[in-house]
Amino acid sequence: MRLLVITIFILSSISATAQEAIDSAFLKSLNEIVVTATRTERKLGNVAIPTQIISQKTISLSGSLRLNDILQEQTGLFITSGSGSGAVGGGVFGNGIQMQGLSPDHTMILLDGEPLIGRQGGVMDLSRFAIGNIKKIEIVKGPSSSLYGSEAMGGVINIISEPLQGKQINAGIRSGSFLNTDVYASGNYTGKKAALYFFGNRNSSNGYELDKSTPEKTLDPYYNYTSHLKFSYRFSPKTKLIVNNRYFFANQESFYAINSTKINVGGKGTTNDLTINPVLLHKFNNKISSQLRFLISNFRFTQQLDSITNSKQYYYDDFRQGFYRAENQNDFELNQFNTLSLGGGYTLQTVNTTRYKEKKEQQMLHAFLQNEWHGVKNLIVIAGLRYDNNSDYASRLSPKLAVNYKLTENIKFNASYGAGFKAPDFRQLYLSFTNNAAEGYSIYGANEFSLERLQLQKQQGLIAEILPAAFQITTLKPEVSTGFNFGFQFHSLKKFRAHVNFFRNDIDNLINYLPVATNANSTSVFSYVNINRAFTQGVELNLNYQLFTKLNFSGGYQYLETADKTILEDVKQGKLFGRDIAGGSARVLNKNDYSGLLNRSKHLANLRLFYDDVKTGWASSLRFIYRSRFGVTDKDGNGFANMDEEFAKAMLQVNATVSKQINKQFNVQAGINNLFNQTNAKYIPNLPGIHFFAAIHYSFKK
Amino acid sequence: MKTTSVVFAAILFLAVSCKKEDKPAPASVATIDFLVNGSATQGNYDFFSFTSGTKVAASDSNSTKWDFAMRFETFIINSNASGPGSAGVQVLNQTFDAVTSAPEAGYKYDTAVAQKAIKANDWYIYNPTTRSFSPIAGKTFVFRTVTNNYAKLEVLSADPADDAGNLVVPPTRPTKIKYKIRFAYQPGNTRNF
Repeated sequence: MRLLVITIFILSSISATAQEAIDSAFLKSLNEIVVTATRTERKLGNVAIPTQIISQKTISLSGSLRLNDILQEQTGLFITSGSGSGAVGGGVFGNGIQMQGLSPDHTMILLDGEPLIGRQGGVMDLSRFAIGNIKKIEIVKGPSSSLYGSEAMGGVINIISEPLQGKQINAGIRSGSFLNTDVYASGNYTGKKAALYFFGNRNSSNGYELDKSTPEKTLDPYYNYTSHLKFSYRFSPKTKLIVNNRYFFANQESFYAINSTKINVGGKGTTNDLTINPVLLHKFNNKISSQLRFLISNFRFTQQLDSITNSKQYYYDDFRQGFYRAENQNDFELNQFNTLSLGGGYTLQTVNTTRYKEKKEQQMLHAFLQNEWHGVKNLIVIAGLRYDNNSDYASRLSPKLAVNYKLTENIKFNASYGAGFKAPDFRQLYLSFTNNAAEGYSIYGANEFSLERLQLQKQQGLIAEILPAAFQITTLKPEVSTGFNFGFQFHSLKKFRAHVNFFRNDIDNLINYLPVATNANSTSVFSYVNINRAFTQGVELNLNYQLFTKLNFSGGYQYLETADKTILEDVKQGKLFGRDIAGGSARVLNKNDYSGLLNRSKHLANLRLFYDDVKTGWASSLRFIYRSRFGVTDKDGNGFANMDEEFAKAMLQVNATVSKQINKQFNVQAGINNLFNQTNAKYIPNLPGIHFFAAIHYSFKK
Repeated sequence: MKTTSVVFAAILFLAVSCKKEDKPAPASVATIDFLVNGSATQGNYDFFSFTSGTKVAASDSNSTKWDFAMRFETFIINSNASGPGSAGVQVLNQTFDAVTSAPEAGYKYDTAVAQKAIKANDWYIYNPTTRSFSPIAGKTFVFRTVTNNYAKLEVLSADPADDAGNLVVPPTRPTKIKYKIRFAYQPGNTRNF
């Protein structure tokens, strides 16, 4: 019913304001400058690597507040939500992102070109990032380690903050269901030589409950603050310093009912995340420019839970990460055919946590080289190579080759090949953990594992058997991938655009934990090895149609196939078994029973309508986001989902907003998210049921 | 559920009887619930006999009245370190139905307290993230029993339960593990099931 009302509203707005004007914003988008794909400024239409832009307009029309809100509505992006496990699973830390079917730990997230830190269990929690301070988000798909190094296997998401220009002040307040309150203020000041931008945000919520049968809330109350301060100073027309500073603080309450029907343990977790990023830009002449970038980044997560009955400490966790990088990049326009980029840097990473024995440190050196060649008319060829050397694991060479060919004014072809890698993460190297609860298992990072210790424990009778896998534990290698992308773009009548991209990623050396020994009490000792091989392949389709000046219609679809190669091979040979229902008898499985990697939907689709009438000040959006069912767990030991109860059901989310520009300064907006109240407490806990909001924005420009 | 199992057993029994009329004795097949101590470290094992197809009292633990016993996810076999019998076991990577006869050799014994015939990773997977364990599909246990007969067994499910055998979910702490097992026992002088 509500949907009907909104649809009628939109349709009536269309007919009332229908115009046959041709939208120039649409063509403008092809000329938009992007930086992520090549680390140099390029027009979107001339980039050989699949790249998408999410504009500030889209973000504000969608009423999105956090990074996960807006990314989940983009084609081919899948927000993971705290279910699944293992190297090819979704991770347990929620709100991560999958790209081209690769896990959250294989997608790099950048802020103004610099990596963000604070991954837990390999997952970067996207809800940590407010998006009121950003100008746009660039999404580059396919392996990009040739420019960005570790983590850029599936692709790169670059959040680009507000530019330092103009003089303005913005502020806003928004309130909604679950007492979700968001307040922000931002401003720009530009002088002759100096410019300043600031952004401050407070976001809080009372949390929500999806499963009333449990005493715990699905999301407990929280509040967080984000501040972003950017400053630039122009020493001369050729030299400029930009200092980017971001600070995030979050307080998340947590309450649990441990072996009880009532809440008996509670406490809070705090996140502190500070980044200081000075960048010095210098143009030697028209053909040579150089940048010197520094990154000082600290992340700390502390959680303490106490018993509510006797105030005794129940759990304490402290995780501290430091990331310090110095990097230089130089761009040369060698001649009319070649543009060369050359760079390198040094990184120091530290980690200190209650789960590891001591403070750990890693040092890395990297160098990269990229050339863009325009030797033949209508053809662009990009070739790149990066070398990463690390103190704690094997070094890595990552190449890239990309081609863009303009067939006609309306049709362009793209093809690219790239290599990606992900360094073993801290837990895979340094974890040292024994669960003293009933199960009594132990798990060791590869660098903490000791065969001698196991052999000693066997002599002492603590270990029953050392398994063959124990002898395979060695220096971990980075997880590596190679990716192919092939696609074409078509646009016609200045109104319609289609972009098709086929992709295939082969991933090797995936790190997973394996049982390496059996304790005397039959429980296991685990450690990490490079073991799994996987692939993801599919096709992504994006359509955009500017119906009238004011109405933009877009649709996206991704078809995805994934597999663990060993499992697929075993299934084909009839070596794997499964049950059709829990407690049922086992049968031999065949290829059709194999559903691929966990946490991957075969079909992702979206349909988005944006209406924006500058004259009347009315704007509206209606977005449908669909994901087909996806495997979440393995209950019969074959490593994948095959029974119905191992899957999360398909889901359709519908979000809508309407807003009105009242005068030059004030804008009001109201919205409904998850209109059909689709929830899944167990497997998609980060998606609340139907919720509403209303917001007011103030903007003053000079 | 029990009715289904009995009917199922009866059908299987008939099926087996019809097919193998000329063979000595058909194996009897049954699917039962086996409720065992849910503690990994404390308390008695729960004992089982293929001859009777039922649980055996813990007071008979030092006898040859039982074939195997379980506690939490640990199997012990009535042999050497675990009991006075000489039962043996092996785990095959085949479906229950595909095991038509017991192997002649290859049986394992509980040679020492820390060297049990059946080890953790032989038949279930433990997920440290969700802290759950599930029996792996397609693992068929073949026993040579204390009476020198043969039996095959499939673990169908393992669920946390209370003392009465009702399934429990967190936050209720389970005291028992409720296994659903399916087995065939061949009382005759043959390895065929």
